[in-house]
Amino acid sequence: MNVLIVEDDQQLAEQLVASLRENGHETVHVGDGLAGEHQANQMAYDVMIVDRMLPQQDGLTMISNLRRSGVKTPVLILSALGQVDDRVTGLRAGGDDYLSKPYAFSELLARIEILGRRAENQSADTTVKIADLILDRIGHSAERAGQKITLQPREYRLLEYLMRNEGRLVTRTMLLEHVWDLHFDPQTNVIDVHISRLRAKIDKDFDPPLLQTVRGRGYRLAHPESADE
Amino acid sequence: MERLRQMLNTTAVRLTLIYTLLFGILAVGVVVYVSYNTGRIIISQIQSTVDEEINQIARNSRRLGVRNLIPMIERRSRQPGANLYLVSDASGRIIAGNVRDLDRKLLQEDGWQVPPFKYQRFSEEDPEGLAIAKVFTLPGGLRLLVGRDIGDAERFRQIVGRASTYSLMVMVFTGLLLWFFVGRRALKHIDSVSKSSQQIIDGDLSQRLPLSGSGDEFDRLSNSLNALIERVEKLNTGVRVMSDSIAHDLKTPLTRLRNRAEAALDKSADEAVLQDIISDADGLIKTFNALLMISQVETGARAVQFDSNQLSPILQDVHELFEPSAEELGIELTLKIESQASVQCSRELIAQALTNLLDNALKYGLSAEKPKIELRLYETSGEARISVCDNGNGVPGEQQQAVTERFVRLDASRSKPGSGLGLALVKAVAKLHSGQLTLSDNQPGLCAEISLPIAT
Repeated sequence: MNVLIVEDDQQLAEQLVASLRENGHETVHVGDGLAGEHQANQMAYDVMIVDRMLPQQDGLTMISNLRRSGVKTPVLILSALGQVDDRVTGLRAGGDDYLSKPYAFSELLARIEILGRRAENQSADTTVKIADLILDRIGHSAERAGQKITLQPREYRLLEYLMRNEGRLVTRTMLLEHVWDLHFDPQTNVIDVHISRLRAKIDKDFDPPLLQTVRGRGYRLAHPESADE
Repeated sequence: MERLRQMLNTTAVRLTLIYTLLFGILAVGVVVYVSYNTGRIIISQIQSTVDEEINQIARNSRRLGVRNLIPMIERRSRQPGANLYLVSDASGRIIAGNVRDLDRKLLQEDGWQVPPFKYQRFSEEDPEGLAIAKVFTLPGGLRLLVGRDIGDAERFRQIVGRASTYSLMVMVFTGLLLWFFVGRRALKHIDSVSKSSQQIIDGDLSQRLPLSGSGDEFDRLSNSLNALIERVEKLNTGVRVMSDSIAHDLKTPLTRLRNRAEAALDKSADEAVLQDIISDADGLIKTFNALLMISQVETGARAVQFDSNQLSPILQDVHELFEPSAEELGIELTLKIESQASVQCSRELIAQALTNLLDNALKYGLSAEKPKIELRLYETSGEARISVCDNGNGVPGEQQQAVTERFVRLDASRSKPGSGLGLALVKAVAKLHSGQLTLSDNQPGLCAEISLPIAT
């Protein structure tokens, strides 16, 4: 992916550039809001990572200017403020996701990978299929190897989110956000228990296991052979 | 000298001086007025007596003739305490009377000689005196002067004048004394307050401003300032305790992190060790995030958006989130919704607070034989109350206040994972919503209850 990083903290930006390159992404880095707006208008990027507080022009102004001029590139807003409502104002200004510092790099990576491919995921397909697991988006149900699996509403949403992001790392925080609409860091392992219940339904009696645990980071739903990491 | 300058500079001194001056002027005014009027009254009395006498003499002289006048004057002159009498001829030669000498010009004009003049009586003992007199021309060109000594009036005036001078002096002296003591007392008080203030400024926040115990305005001021200092001390202690706890609580994971990194270096990156390092760092980040969150909630009422939210769906969501975990642990988690109340709140924050409470209940409720947790929503007297009750070990009554502070954990729970920040956040969230967090004994176990005012 082509990632534009708009961040005034030189050290942090360098670290980001290096880590993203390591994970196979192209990056361009600029240090202020005006340069960021200029860059984003010049070139089509897959994702932008924008710090909220920037010299020349703050991140939110930059994003709303870009949205007004028709740039639809998904934006992940980074912020040191990190309060509930900062996220709301950030998203209102046209950001697509929000991460507060300090953050784990794996969390950031997981989020921008999902943001960057979101366009592909907006399919209106009524069914999603991974290996022999099929999700019925109309009946809110699933089946694997032809066997019907009954899902609780929340389990359905969990599975749907994982399947939409096939092959990509999904962190616990992201699950809490998208499945429960709660935006905070789960201090406990509550998500893990939900996952293991889901796993019992879709993986236990079948082969190969599709729902993988990425230790210390999160989960990934994919066919084991197609997993690229 | 400096001390004197300071004393001159106090309000008390300025007031004393102004009062002394005002009273002085007033007193002098009264004295002048009284003595002036007294003098006038005495003189006018003298004048009317003299007028009366002249009329009498004039009548007599008309009736008896001028010839008999001289003996009559002589007779009168010799009476004890007599007025002044003088008869002269047209050339000014003294013919009769008891005046030996006076300014002859006085005799040339008829009428009152009001400005007092000097005269000399015949009797030896009498020195030169002051008098006023009336001159009258008798038929035949003789001139008659009848007057009266005003020495008494003069003396009276002098007595009054002296008395007022003395009393003025006493007043000024008292004023100065008053100034000295009042000024010194005020200054002494202010000096002791300044001294204590300096100690407080130097960092000794346990100091308090001295009170004289009289309950005067200085005491009242000192009292308010003492309350202020106490608040500052409390805040200061809070900050110190917190930074101490942060340092203490972060030292262990940081040391562990460092040692693991070192171990990873030795064994050329064993994956499991690296995973541990990541989870250690994650734990640290979580602690920092929780701390940040608490202080933001505590201070940042401004930025959080409140909406009118029904509480029951929030409880249902949180219950649903925790239900599998509870079941896994063999805990019976029940949800009781007895109210459909809406409150002005941030759904996020309420959910997070409930998450923290349930998390605690799962952790510490486990000790019971048949662990049970009840999540309950009910209403009472205009408040919505959310309670999370377990039947675990609970928190001893005397510790219930303390555990809602940052980093405070019961000794028994130190072995369990956790940052000691959970309840501090719940308390901050409750406070932000104008509600409160109450901990109570569930016999056995702990009941944590958040009360929130219901939106009207």
